[in-house]
Amino acid sequence: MESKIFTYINTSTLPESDGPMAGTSVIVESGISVANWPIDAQSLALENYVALEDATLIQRLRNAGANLKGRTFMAELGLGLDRDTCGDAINSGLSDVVLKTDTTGEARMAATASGCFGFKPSYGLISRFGLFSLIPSMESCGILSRSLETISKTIYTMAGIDERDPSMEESGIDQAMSQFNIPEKFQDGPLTVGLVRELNSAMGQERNKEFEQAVEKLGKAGVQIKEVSIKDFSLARTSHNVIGTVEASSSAGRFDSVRYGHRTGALVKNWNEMYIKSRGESFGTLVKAYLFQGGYFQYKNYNAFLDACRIRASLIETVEKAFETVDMIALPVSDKPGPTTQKPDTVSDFYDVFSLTLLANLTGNPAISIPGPVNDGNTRSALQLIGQRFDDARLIALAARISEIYTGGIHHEI
Amino acid sequence: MKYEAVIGLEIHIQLNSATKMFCDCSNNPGDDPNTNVCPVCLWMPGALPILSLEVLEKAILACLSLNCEIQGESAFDQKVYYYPDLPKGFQLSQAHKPLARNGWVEILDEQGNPKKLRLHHVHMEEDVAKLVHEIEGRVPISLVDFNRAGTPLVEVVTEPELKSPHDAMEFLKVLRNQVRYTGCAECSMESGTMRCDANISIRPAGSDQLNTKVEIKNMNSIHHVGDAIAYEIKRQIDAVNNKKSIVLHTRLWDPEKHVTTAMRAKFEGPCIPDPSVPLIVLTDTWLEKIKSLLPEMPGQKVKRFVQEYSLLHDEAVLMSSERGLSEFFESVVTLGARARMAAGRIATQLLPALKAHGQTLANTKVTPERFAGLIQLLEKGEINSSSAKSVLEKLFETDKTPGQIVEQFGFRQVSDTAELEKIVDKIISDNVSAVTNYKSGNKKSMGFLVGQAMKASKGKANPKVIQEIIKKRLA
Repeated sequence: MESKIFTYINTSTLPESDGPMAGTSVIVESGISVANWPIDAQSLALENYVALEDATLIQRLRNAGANLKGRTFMAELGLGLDRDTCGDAINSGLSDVVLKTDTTGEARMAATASGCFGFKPSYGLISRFGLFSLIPSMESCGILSRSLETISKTIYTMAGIDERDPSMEESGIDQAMSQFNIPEKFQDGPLTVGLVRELNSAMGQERNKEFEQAVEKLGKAGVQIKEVSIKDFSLARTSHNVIGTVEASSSAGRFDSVRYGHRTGALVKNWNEMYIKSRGESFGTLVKAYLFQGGYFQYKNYNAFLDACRIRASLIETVEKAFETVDMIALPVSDKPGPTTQKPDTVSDFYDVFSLTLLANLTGNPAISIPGPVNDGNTRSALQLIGQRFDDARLIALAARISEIYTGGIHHEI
Repeated sequence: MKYEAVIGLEIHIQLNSATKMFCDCSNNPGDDPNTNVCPVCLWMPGALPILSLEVLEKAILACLSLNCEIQGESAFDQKVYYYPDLPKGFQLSQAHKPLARNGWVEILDEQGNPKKLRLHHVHMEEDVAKLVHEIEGRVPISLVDFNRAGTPLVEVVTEPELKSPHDAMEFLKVLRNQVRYTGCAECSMESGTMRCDANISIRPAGSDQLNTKVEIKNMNSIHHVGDAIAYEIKRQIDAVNNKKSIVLHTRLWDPEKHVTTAMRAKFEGPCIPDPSVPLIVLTDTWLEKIKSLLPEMPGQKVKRFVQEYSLLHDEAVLMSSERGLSEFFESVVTLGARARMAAGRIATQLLPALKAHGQTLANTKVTPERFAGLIQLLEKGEINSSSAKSVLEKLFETDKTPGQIVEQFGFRQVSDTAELEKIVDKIISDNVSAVTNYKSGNKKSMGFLVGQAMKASKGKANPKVIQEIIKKRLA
């Protein structure tokens, strides 16, 4: 069974450790560098590429005594969940934790499908050094686990300023780190959850009854429910689509088949032909479609990209404003009944799946998915909570309280 | 119809920071191929660029030397293109928010009148790798050297308002001087630390339209830039006169054949904000600190040299032309040499001697102390002008002081009248015809007689005293 779940199993012996992560097993998805492990992000374009050094977050986990188990199957270059097996690894008890790059909602969605918690930290809380995804401005090291305590401990171990990642904000990180040591502070006191006023219009006619029932349950348990307005909510998907594809097109530019990756066997006349043929043979349909769109916006419609950036800035602002009145914003993980791991053929299919998780990637907020009361992989019944940027410790602590109410603790007993 | 040229220049200047722009690799592109490399400048997946503070400071100093307005906010973009010298597919450059805008340099036009040329902006960018094509073997191959990849450049972009090859060459000289003064770059077109592309179009004289331009690359001296522009202006005028249209493209200057040849269609790729390098926000306090590092620039220095040291304008310009030279000159003066004498001796004796020895002010034994000592001996009349040349030669050879050299090699000037009278008497009796000529009014003969006397004294006589004695004797 393991061979169907793992693409790489670590056989080196673990040094003795009494660090905080000792005894915790961690699967590391193939977009995150571990020294001397293959890092192909499941793409021929990175075939035979072996990481030269540890990502900063891996170095920190290693120092804390974590048991790095290996790599599971993932979708090509981390785009979506096609062929993904990380949830199976959790379900089969093969690992306590999975680390999975989250650029559109992949970690939260995979967690939901397998009935565990999925967390995407604040952008900039964990170093991106050694991560490879197609969308650098949205990439976060997502994490799957059945235990929120384990998630909290793992995030705390990996987080913190790293001089090798230029995009980290020192002040925000200091604030975020100081909150991890005081979970008891968040155990009592009133809770206010915000509902996005624009959600229904964004989702069309079909109402999400499971989500409404979940919110109702929270209300009955004494959680205050409040409506918040996020003006451009319905444009988040388009904004992510335009910015994501443009960044992906640039990021994938380095796959030239010269120093690593698959190179075409066809007879070619010059290096341009070699690039084109090699890339053509390497990338799958979804990645190709994604890169083509990015190329279109880069070369032919730059104004659309500028508009998307403006929408993104406005979303960051309105989401921030919403937190003046609520502790968390609640959203469904998906408005499609799961499981959602089937292969999307088009960019549009892909965005249909992630339309409700991508907001947190766009704005850089932390977000967590809480599985439904019944572990049937139904993504409609999973709850997603978004917290304030760099308020990660508090979000995880509050998610534990919400989860108690929502599931009555059922899924802890799987 | 009479046409005029519209010329804009884009100049890449390599900064001389210790490291590359975004990593700690040494900034020495000339080292053995692929020795100054790391995952960041090999552009490997997962590596992140960290902007060097030294590069930022040096780039700002270069901009300040060109009178630019430093922008409080600037940012890096990804300039996308696909070529084997750029295997990550984009170059980090500043397309939308450059480091500095506006700015100007002052040149002298063909008539010698001052003229300001405006800069559109100056931005930072990383250099790409270097391709080495080996075409000799059975299968031609291209090798990539990443030593240059990620080395720091500033690109200076002028307004399209240069009018002639003269403007372009003068502009480049002043630009080179100004930036060199800051100590942030070598600016040598010959060694590739300064590279210039020229954009050229023509229009009917007096009109203000901007027509299709042609870009010219591959000039590796300031003279080549002038030659290439002159050729291209003529080529375009001929083309238009022959009813051919000008197409936007890039041409290469061929320095052997003195022509430009078409290379490719000019390519303008997209530029999108880079998500990893943060916005560069400069605080006023920090910027003031950097501004205080800017040395006194040639313009101010010329004025001060004229006022403080009573140099003539041309002398002051020469002594200010290079920062090292100006500092050498001032040290010599501070050590007690008379300013005009020092300036004159540096220009006519020291600089040619340095050139002959293949040395520079930075690496020669002739320190300001030793050179000032030499001039003082000259001022005090202890040596004469011709011995001064010989002493200077010895300064290159030994570590002795000028005084010791004078003693050791017997360069001391003879001003003793009795001794010199003997020499003069012999010269007068040996050169009857010259004496006759002098007496009949040919003043040139005096020079000949003095020369003979100097020769007889083996160059050690004080020529003034000799002349006085001859005058007295022949009166």
